[in-house]
Amino acid sequence: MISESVVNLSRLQFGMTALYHFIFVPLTLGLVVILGIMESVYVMTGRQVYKDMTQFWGKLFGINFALGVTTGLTMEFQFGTNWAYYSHYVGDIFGAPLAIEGLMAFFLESTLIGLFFFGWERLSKGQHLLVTWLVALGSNLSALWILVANGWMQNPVGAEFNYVTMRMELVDFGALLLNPVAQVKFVHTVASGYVTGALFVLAISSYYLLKGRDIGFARRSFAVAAAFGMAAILSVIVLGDESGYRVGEVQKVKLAAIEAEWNTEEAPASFTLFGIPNQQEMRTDYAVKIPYLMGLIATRSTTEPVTGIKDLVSQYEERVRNGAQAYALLERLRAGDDSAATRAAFDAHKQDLGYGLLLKKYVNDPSAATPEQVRQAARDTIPGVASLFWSFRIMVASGVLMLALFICAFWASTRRNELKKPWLLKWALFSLPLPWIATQTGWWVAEHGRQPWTISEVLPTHLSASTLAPADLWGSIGALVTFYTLLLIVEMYLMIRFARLGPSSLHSGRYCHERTAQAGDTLRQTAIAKPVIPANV
Amino acid sequence: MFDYETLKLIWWVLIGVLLIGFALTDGFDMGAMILMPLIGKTDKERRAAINSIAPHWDGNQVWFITAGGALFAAWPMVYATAFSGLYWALLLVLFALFLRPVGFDYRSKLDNSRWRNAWDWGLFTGSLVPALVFGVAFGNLFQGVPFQLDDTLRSTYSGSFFALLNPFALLSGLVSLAMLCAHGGSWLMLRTHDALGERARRATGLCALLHLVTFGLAGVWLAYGFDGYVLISQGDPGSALNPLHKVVAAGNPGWLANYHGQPLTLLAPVVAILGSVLALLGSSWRQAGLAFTGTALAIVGTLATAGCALFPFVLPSSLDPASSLTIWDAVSSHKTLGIMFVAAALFVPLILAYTLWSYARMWGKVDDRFIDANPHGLY
Amino acid sequence: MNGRLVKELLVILVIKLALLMVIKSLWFSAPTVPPDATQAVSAHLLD
Repeated sequence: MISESVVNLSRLQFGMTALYHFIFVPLTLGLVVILGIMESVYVMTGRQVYKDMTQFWGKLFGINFALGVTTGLTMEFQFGTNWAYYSHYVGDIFGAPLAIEGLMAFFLESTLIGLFFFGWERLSKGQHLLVTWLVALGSNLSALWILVANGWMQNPVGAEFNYVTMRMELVDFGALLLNPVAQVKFVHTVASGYVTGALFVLAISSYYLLKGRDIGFARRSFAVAAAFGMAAILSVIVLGDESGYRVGEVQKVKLAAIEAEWNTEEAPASFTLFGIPNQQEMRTDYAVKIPYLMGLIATRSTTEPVTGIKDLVSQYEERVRNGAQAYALLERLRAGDDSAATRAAFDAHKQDLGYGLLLKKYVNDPSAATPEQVRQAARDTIPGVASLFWSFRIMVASGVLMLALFICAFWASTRRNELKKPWLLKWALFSLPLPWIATQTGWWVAEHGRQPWTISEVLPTHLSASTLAPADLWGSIGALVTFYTLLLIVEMYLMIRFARLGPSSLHSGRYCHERTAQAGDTLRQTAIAKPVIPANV
Repeated sequence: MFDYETLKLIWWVLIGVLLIGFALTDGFDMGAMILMPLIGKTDKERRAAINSIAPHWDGNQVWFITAGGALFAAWPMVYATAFSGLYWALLLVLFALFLRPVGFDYRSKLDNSRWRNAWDWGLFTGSLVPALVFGVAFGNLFQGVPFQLDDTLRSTYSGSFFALLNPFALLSGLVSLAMLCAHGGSWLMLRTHDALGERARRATGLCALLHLVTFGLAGVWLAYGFDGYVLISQGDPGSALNPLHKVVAAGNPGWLANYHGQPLTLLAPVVAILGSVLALLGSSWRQAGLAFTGTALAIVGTLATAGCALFPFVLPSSLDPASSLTIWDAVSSHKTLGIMFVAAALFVPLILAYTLWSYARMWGKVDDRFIDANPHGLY
Repeated sequence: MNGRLVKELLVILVIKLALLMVIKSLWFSAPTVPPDATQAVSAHLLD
């Protein structure tokens, strides 16, 4: 079929560009809501410091947003460039949420962001605040629609195969929208963005507090971030649990792989905390288990078992055989034999057509597959266990660490004694990478765990790619890596520079590097040797 | 709501609307950024040009992103075949576009002339390449591109990137470049003044003239130099059609068949020419509004001319004409087209409303004083 | 600024490409399950 290296390189490119895009997206999602909160306080109280907060954190937001847009451009078109057969096969369903994302969300977010940055003097306080919240709405809506799309890849509801047009077609738009997998992924992902935004502000504010500068500004920013982050981290963990439960319902092999559940244990199954999954022997070495825990979390019962990988493989063998029959019936239909009997037979087998398509990796006509090929195709339904096992645990561990941090930060903030706890401030600062570790590993689990399918149980990855040459892929991967690396270096240079400068980069005359003391700041006086505005700003 | 055949036709119009919307909005900010390092002689002049579009360029670019998404939703075969076939052309456009968001936001963040100059040329490149390549792509549509569909509707493209840079396509690229630069120039006439505004005025006139010349040349070349494709037979357009079940042949010399068949379509090239004439007059008479109206009409007319000539083809295949993609068979299901129509009908007016509001709020001349009033807040 | 910056950027790029190749060979090169998995599955079913 398509060269295996083209498929693998296409996967590598898509994974790399998607993860790269997701460096910037969660910060956009969370920080924009924080900006809305800060500006709301400004409009309600009239305190200048809150306007400064909105404008300063807004500057950092802009530096991040630029690369969010840049890397997002690639994603919109990459389904067409590198996954052309996928785009034909499921575009009738998948294209719609992407287009609606543009119409409903991108336009709102991108049109009004211009007013956010440049409309301070042109809009009333209320109007500008509305603009900020509409930008937040736009970003969050965009997450909704893309996760409706991704949710459909994991759980392809509301669609049927049409043998005339040789593709999946939409049957129930409501089912697409209300797909429980999509719904839970949406709120879980958005919550992870909120955590990212909160921790970003918390860490940088802690930096200012440790340096003893812009105290009033930093303490208020810290307070907003701690409260918002507290709510967000609780949401993301609860929704993560819900997400896992849904995966257990519709993608049993993904759950089994994440947990390295090779055998079906007696319910309720134990949870493997650590271990070395051994793909060769199909067991986990050095396993440290917690009894009953996985059964309880994954099935929310004490009697329902979590099906193990070995049992799933044998179930899928049957589905592959059914799928091969479905394929043979499909060929007959397309050859012109569309009698009621043939169509009824096809309808009886078509839910396994995807499993039949797995055979096309080994033989052109699935109905002529040997028993060994059938077994091989069934084995292909298992994604790589070790990376899923570990990335899931890294994600959860990061989440737990952030939970502990936000509890302490929130507590200190309400007691107003964060300045007396340099250990907390340092902890917050060094925790800055955690949300990024969690979000990247989380997406790895979701997408690598989806293999060997692009559309779960419907379309295998190895059939989905464009007919390109390996040289095309090497070229585009090389160019993307180079471009993205250079842009990221520039972005981080500016981000670090402006984070270090703090609100003095607003050139208002009110902050550190600009004044010897901040008049009217009752929280603490800041003494600087001489007021110096850096030349390069 | 609408029957399938009508919806297919409506979506031909809607995709056209999205592409025209893209050219009208992102077109002037691309045109302005192509002109920026050429007519902006000082840092403040360049900043003035940049800040005249700063609040708007990102919303404008969404027309491009949404056009891509809409193509996926309404014409998935076109989205798949065109983007994978014209792989390097699209990647080239994307790489160039990468330079824009970062160019705008990062350019003035450091007070370093080498840094700023580098980003100015980045913005230039990021605007020039797409403007040129879109025209080149259209020029190739008229010739057909070498792809073929197998019986599972998987497409295979057999041409090279360099084959796309043939003379007619390059001329089409110039048409596109000229019309967008004229549009950028007339925008700068509206939003700047003094020396910069004067240079923008001259650039507008020059580019409008260039558009007239290249559009005319391309039209004549097309009329006498190409066989064109004609749809000989297909199944019922009101049903779900398989692209391979149709008969297509060369036999539409000059792609003029639709102009003969539907004389109303002659309005399109007339509007294109009239638009550039108005732009020329507007630039001579120092009437910025007239110039901008003219360049906008030139864009609408040019794109409509191309669309009407190609109809019902979207992506003709030079290798296997039956594989050509038309608005009747490269299309999503009835249900999806219906849902997307409702989404577009609901949201496009809303988008236009808040877009116009944002332009209205940010209107006014951008000049050195404007920059001096807020050097750190502006781009 | 120029020479040193260019050198540093090249080093970063080389490291990144190397990392990418490692990731590719580890996780983006099928197959994932070993050929004798069948025995493991049948053995398990017979237990």
